[in-house]
Amino acid sequence: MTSNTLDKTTIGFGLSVAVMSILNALLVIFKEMTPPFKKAMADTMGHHWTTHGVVVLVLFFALGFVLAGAVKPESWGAGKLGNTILWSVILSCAAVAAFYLLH
Amino acid sequence: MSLFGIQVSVMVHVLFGVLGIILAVALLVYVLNASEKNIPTIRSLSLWTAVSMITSYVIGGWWYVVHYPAERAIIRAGQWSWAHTFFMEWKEHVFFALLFLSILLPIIAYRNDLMVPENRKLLLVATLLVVLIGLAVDGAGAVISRGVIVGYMGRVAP
Repeated sequence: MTSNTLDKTTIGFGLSVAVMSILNALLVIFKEMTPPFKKAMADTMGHHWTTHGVVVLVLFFALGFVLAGAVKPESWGAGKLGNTILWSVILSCAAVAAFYLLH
Repeated sequence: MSLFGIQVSVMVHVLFGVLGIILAVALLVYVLNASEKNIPTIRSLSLWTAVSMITSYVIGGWWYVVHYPAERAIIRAGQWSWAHTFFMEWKEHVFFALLFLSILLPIIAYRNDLMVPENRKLLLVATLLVVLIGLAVDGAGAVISRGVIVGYMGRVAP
């Protein structure tokens, strides 16, 4: 028997990929534009990138589980979720590239 | 750690990254030719792609924090300082998107009916992004390595 409805964990973590890719890009831009914030990140765990990684990974898993419990499977089809992931990841990669190109 | 150990560890990071890309390409091929018979292979490939990318991230992250600063100084003093200011900066941050996508692969593959074309399309999109971002960060890594060499060339024969 086939099931057309996506599993809730897939939707939750799929949306988390989309949201966290954008948030990751925004955090990159914000920390680079705000030296005291970048220094605070470096002071927290010894290196700004370590703190950055821990923050985005913890948020990724937390958001994934929260959204998995909150979403209605009927409102997120595989096609819609795929497009959301695709464009958010492309946008975030391009935003980080554009920022470092111009920075 | 010895100089040999430092260089081997960064090569192991690259090795797992390339292995992850190869596994993701194999996953693409299997998903495009999905049947009831190869669903277990698709699931297994999605899991090992994620394991390989996570391993590459852990080793590369450790190497970046502990050993890269010495190479960064050489790159920034050379003529290819953009190998760090653009390529490394881009690579070290975009890797997170690659990591998220890699973790998503087995979630899609194990928790959904892959005989539904729309579900397979979702897995294809995520896998294709893993392959493309994987190749891009791999290429960025190659530019960074050349940046170190260009930095040393400036010191030996300016």
